[in-house]
Amino acid sequence: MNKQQEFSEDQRDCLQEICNIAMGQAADSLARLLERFITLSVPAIRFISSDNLDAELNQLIGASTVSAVRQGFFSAHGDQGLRGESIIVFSETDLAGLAELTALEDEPANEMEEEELLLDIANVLCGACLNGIAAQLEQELGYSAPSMIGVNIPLRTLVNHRQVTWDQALSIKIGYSLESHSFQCDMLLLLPTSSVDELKRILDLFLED
Amino acid sequence: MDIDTPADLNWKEYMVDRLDAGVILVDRELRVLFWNHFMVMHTGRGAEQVVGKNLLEQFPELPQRWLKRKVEGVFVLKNQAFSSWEQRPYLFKLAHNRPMTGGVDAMYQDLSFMPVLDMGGQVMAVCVSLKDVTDAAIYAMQLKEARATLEKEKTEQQSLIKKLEQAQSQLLQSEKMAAIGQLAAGVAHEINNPVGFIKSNVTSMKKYAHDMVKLLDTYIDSEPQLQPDSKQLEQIKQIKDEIDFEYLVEDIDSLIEETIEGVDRVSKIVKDLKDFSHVDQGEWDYEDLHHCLDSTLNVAWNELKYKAEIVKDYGDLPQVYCMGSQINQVFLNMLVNAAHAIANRGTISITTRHQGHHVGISITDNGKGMDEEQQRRVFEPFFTTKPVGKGTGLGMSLSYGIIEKHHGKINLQSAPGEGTTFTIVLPVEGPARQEDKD
Repeated sequence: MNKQQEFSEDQRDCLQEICNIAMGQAADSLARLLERFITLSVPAIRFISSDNLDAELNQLIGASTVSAVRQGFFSAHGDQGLRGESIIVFSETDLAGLAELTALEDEPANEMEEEELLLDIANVLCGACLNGIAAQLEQELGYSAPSMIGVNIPLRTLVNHRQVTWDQALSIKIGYSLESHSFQCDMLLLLPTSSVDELKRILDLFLED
Repeated sequence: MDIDTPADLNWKEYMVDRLDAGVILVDRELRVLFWNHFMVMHTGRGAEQVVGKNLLEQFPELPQRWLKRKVEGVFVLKNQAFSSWEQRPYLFKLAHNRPMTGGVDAMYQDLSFMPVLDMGGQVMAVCVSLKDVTDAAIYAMQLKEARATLEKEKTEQQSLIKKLEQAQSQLLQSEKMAAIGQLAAGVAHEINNPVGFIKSNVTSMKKYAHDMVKLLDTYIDSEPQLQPDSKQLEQIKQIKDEIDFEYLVEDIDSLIEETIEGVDRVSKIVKDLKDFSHVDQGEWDYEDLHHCLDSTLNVAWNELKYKAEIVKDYGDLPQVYCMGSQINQVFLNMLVNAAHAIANRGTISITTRHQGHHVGISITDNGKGMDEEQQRRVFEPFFTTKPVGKGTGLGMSLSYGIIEKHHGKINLQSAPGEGTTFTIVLPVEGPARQEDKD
């Protein structure tokens, strides 16, 4: 059994504060882009273990059928840096209505366009929030292209258990919803333990200033 | 570093120019600031033609709103954006690298929109990079197609397996029925012999009894010739009283009549049993369905008599081209099921009608009826509402199969607590001849 990862109180408070500020900025950017008011939940920071991933996901997301997008992010310093993935989980989302809202094309949205829309939204949510966090920590983040995990899939198929190589991960969950539209989406920022050490180091540096 | 470069480019610019990927720099109004060699080669438009001009004016076929929005998003959010071939195969419709081997209509592209910041941290331009992913895309699409084919085949196989199971269970049932039929035919044959000589003997006995009564009558006529108060007369009177002679003479006739009737009934049941379990099972012929119904009723009488009163409403039916023994089997299943649906005592009505090229036979009981789930599943093999060991759940599915083979239909109407009506519709001319007419 690995040692349970935990933050010091200072580290945790600091990370929470940084997330709060980043989210505020993200919500602002998004509202300008979509011309709609965005509601965000308070970021929930916790460690999850891969042993009972299903239960953890159930607790974090709640819905049983979801659509999801994943995107990788990384800081400089290669393996030593921050490396993680965001999983953006859409539940109770009226895709067609959302497509209408953003009206990419004049024609009604087809399946591919709906997927593209999910990828776009995921990228925007993820980038807006992570850029905010990175800016405060004076880090530069790069992103991989977002890719679809699936549309209307069971929650438990979100992560392929056989491919999981980590025991514990840091999860930062932020919920977004859109005023006047059926849209609920949760962003999970997931960092493996190796990156958590780097994050702690960065947070300590930040606290020293 | 000393590298020979074209006069207007430094070596770093030259490198980007020669990158094996499209690199385009645009400002917020989509004016082109840079256009690399890859784009020149694939679009056929030189940098001098494009740079400084609006991208959408130069390429009106591009998705205008989409592109504007994408670039505007990068300016507003200072965040890199992407586009993948899976959702949007290409931005620029460019010739692909497979003019000979083919497989796609254009070069498949992954795109990235990277913000380029000025010293103050504001976005001043967007760098669009375009990767040719045609080969990977073709591979991925082939895989997807192969997977879909596999999935389809799997589904087909599953339905085949189900059909096979169904066929097997029907086979099992029909083999069982054939075995029982053969056994019954054998037993019937064995019973037939004794029944034959019993009947012939009783008929002779009837004649002998008549003769004996005739002789006795003659004796009785000569009684007055005996001495009154004689011992013989006294004895005769005593025996007559003892055996209740008057009644005996009267009864002997009806006894023999009843015996003959009983024997007739036995031989009829035996005959029906032989009909029913006919060894030449599965032969097509013109059959009188009323005869089929009656002989089935006869066979099933034991199951029915304590449960229900049978009400027959027979119409005027033509002879129907069918497999008599199998149709009997269906009638038997229907009748026995109807009886089983009745808890105490009820009525089973049998109605037959003829209309056009079809005949209809309805069997109605006023038993416990079926709910929707039961109605939906009643023809499913192994579906039974009877306790374990009582029903195989095959009767109805077998009947369904038989009627289908006749190109007929079985319908049912049922309401819980009110009863059930099964209606069988058969083409008068059987399946083959039926097709000629349709």
